[in-house]
Order: sequence, then structure tokens, then C-alpha cells
Amino acid sequence: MAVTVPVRMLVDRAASGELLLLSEGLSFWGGLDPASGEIIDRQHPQHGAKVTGKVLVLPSPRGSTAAPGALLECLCEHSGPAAIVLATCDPTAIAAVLAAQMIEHPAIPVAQLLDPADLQVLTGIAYANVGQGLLTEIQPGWSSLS
Amino acid sequence: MKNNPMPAEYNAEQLSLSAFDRACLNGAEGSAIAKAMRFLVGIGQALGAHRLIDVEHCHLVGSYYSGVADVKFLQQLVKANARVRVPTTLNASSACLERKSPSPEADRAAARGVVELYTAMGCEPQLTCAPYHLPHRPSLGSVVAWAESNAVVFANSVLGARSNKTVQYLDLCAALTGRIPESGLYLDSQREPTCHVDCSLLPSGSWDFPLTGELIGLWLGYHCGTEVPILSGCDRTPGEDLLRGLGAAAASSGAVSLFHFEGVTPEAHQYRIQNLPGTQLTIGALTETAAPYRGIPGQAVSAICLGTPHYSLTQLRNLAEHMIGTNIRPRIPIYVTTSRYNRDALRNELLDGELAARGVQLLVDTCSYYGRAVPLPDGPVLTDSAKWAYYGAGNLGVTTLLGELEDCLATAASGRLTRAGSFPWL
Repeated sequence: MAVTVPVRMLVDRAASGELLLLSEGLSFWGGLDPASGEIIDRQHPQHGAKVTGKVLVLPSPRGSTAAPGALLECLCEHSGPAAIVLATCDPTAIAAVLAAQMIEHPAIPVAQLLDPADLQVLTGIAYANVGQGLLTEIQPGWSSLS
Repeated sequence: MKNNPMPAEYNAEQLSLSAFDRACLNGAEGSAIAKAMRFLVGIGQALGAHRLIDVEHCHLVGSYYSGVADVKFLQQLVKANARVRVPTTLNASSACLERKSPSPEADRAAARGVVELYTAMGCEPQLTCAPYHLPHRPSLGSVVAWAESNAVVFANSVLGARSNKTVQYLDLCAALTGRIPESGLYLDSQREPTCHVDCSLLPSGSWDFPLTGELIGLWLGYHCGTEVPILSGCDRTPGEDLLRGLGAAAASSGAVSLFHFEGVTPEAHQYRIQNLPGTQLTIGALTETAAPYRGIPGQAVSAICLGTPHYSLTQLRNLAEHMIGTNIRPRIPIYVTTSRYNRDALRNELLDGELAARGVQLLVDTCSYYGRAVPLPDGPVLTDSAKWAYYGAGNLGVTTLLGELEDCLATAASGRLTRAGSFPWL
């Protein structure tokens, strides 16, 4: 049965993609290469993974208040994630997405897990859709339907 | 969970807007302000804020080149004649913008381009991570929107002003509208201490050493990283620079944005510490915290970096007095970063020339741990700042060592780590 977990939409859009679950928080400034979408923080367990086009699920952003600038570049270089899902409420990703919108770049969904413990439930899920208050496991190829 | 701005039940409809907020949204103040207000409403709803409140000062983080999208974002606002509504200052940049600086010209030009876009919107071009050193510092109860973590913890804790760690673009939209969502540390309930740190076991004399503050800060960040700690057990009032270093360190190794200190900070008297979960801070704990930065006396050191956060005028004077008093001739570079404001004050006292004549490189606008702001040191760096020691290691890939000012100057003279001071835990 497909896994579904409730989320709170912080930026209310919908998107689908391969799910990338980070086991630790990520600093978008310094931890993510905006040009390639690759996680370049060598201390990070998912070092080397690409966020591009993915449903990026992480406990929380980390580090500098300058992180929205780095994420904005990533989004505008088309190397950013398709959606961002956080276990905590944090303005970093929202600020980057709203700033992108101000320069006529399409907004991606940003959501918060209603129950942070659902991070564990998402282990092993390959593809997901985020939107309308839900994160839903989907089959690859369904993304075009969203 | 402490300090989470999101209430359990969230309802986007609960954000109520003032007549001014609505007028901004409807374009009465121009298209740029309408966009900025839409941004604030979006963030306010996500944070579960009930309203927006007035801010009296903003300090922005984005004053360096981060890419073409950021430049486009700023250019669009400038083109739409956006102007800040409240006094607004800029954080330290990636390069020193003055002509005689060690920063590469390409870095200066890129940073200058961004800073000029901010000044076109009415921001003051002071590039400093220590806005509390500028005239008109916030006072008890002032509402500000600051982005730099050491400035936020200083404003909240030492001044009793109110700020969250305001993220990039939220900081600018607050400056353009003079408004900010009321969440986090703007709320009385979020300023209450959540844990107690008893410092009464530390010897009374330890408060004379600024490094005590740096180490307590590092320890606080590691052990109370997301809490609002209240400290107690200090039988004198530590100096402002010690408290500043304490907060800067706690905001580096952890995410501390506010601490209280019984008998020391302005809001501490409002709170009772009896029923809070508590820890006794011991000499052993501070010795352990200092251990990674102790080094081995006699080991080669490649540079001395002082002034993170930007040195205060008191610290600059103290450095000048030491240099003049000991007549040290450095064999390795001594970099000192500060604001133009403090540098100019030092110049008025004719002390900046004394430093330059003794080989001290005084840098403004930037920080020595930003990649290319100074020539990269190729070996261990000795600093009096726990924040520098914490970030410099990762940013520059060098070993970082902590020391008193006396240690730093004696080490500069020999090029080898020398413990000349009397700090008990190194």
C-alpha cells in the first residue's frame, strides 16, 4: 500500500519526483553547489547526492541566514529540488522560493511534516508527490500526472 | 519543543493585517513594496504569526556577490524605486571594498556591485557584523530585524532588544516595509529561559579573561544549542566584550539567539530559575571545551587573526597599547578586522598608524575567514575568537588555535605558539 503522510503546506504548490531523504540537516549556503545541485558538505552523510528535480526531505536547514541566497541561485539555475519537505518550520526555504517568485521564477512546494517522526516512515520510498496537505508515495512515471 | 515559532494548530487565516499592510499589498506604495508585503504575508502565514509588527532597524546579510539570480532580484527592486523605510545597515562582505586592500580586484568589484544595489535602496554602506557598535544602538524592548547571528544574540541578550535570526530576503522585505511577522523571539513567551547554567564553581578571577566568555559560549552552543539558557553565579559584571564573545561563540557552535545572565543582562530579573533543568559548569568542562584549540607550545603558527566579530574600539585600543608597550615586531601576519566606524575612531586617536607601523594589518568591511579576504594562511592560525576558531577551520581548512591577546602577540613575535598570558585553562 502506498505510504501517505500529512504535511502543512508552507508554500502551497504541488510537485512530484524521486524522493531524497537526508538523515541530517543541510546548509544550503556552503553545503550545496548551486550550479550542479550536488551536496558538497563533506561532513554530510549524503555528500555527493544531487537534489535536482527531487522531492527533498530533510530534518531542517542549517547554518547561515544567507542560505536563501544560495538556494535562490540553485532554483534559478534549474538545478534545485522539485519540492522541499522539512520536519521543522523554518523560513529559509520559503524565503528562497518567494524570492524566486518575485523574479518570475515558478514557485516549488515547501511543506512541513505534521509529525516529525514521519521522517522514519519515508525511508525506502523511491518516488513521491507533495501537494494539498499530503506527501504521497507514487510509482515512477506518475510525475507527469501531477 | 522549545523555540518553535509554529503553533500546534496552524491556520493561514489567523494573520490579521493592518490598514498600512493592506495598502502596501494593494500597491499604494508602489509595485516593489507590494511584492515585499506579499513576501512578508507568505512568511508570516507559514510561521503562524498573528500579525505583523513595526521594526525600527534592519541589518541585512546579503551584501556580497552570491550569483546572477540575487543580482537580478536586487536590480528589479532598484528599478522599481524601492527604498528602505527604516534605518538599515549591511553585514560584512566577502571583500574589503577599499582600494588599498588585500582582496583580489575581481572579488571587490563583484561585492561592490551588490553593495551599490543595496545603497541605491537607501541602506547605509557600513559593512560590519557588529551593527551594535554604530550610533543609535537598539535599547531594551526595541524591535529590530537583524540577520547576523552574533548581532542577534547580542541585541537580544545584552541590549534586551528583540530580533530573530532574520533570513536573507526576509530581512530586506522587512527593511522595505518597516514590518515583520511577530514570531519567535518577538514574543514574550519565547524569551523565557528553558535551562539553567550555574557558573558559581568557576573561580572569581576567571571573569577577568575574555577567553572565559569565549569558552563558556562554545560550551553553551554544544550543550544548550537550541535553548534559551539562563546563567548565574557571577559575582561581578563581566565586560560587554566578554558577553559579546560569549554570545558569538554560542551562536557558532550552537543556535543560541538569546541567553540571560542573572545580575548581568537586562531581562534576567524577570525570571525564576528554581524549576528549570540545570547544569553546573565546571573548570573541567571548560578545559575539555578548550582542548581542540590548545595546540603544542613551540609549534609553528602561520598567522594571527583578531576581530571576529569586528573588534570594538576598546579592543582596538587595548591591542594598540599592548603593541606599543611591548614593542613587538611580528614575524607572521597579524590581521585585525573591524568596522570602518571603529577604525575611523581609532584613527582620530592617532592609534591606527601605531598599529600599521608595527606591522598589524587592520582590515574593514570583511572577515579574515572568508576565503580570499586575506592571503590564505598555509598553516595553523592563532586567534582570540572562538567564532573564528570554529568557522575558520572549516572555511580555510587550517588548524585553529585559541589564545589570549598576550599569547597572540608573543606568538606573532616568534612565529611559534607561545603561551605568554595567565589564562588558567589553556
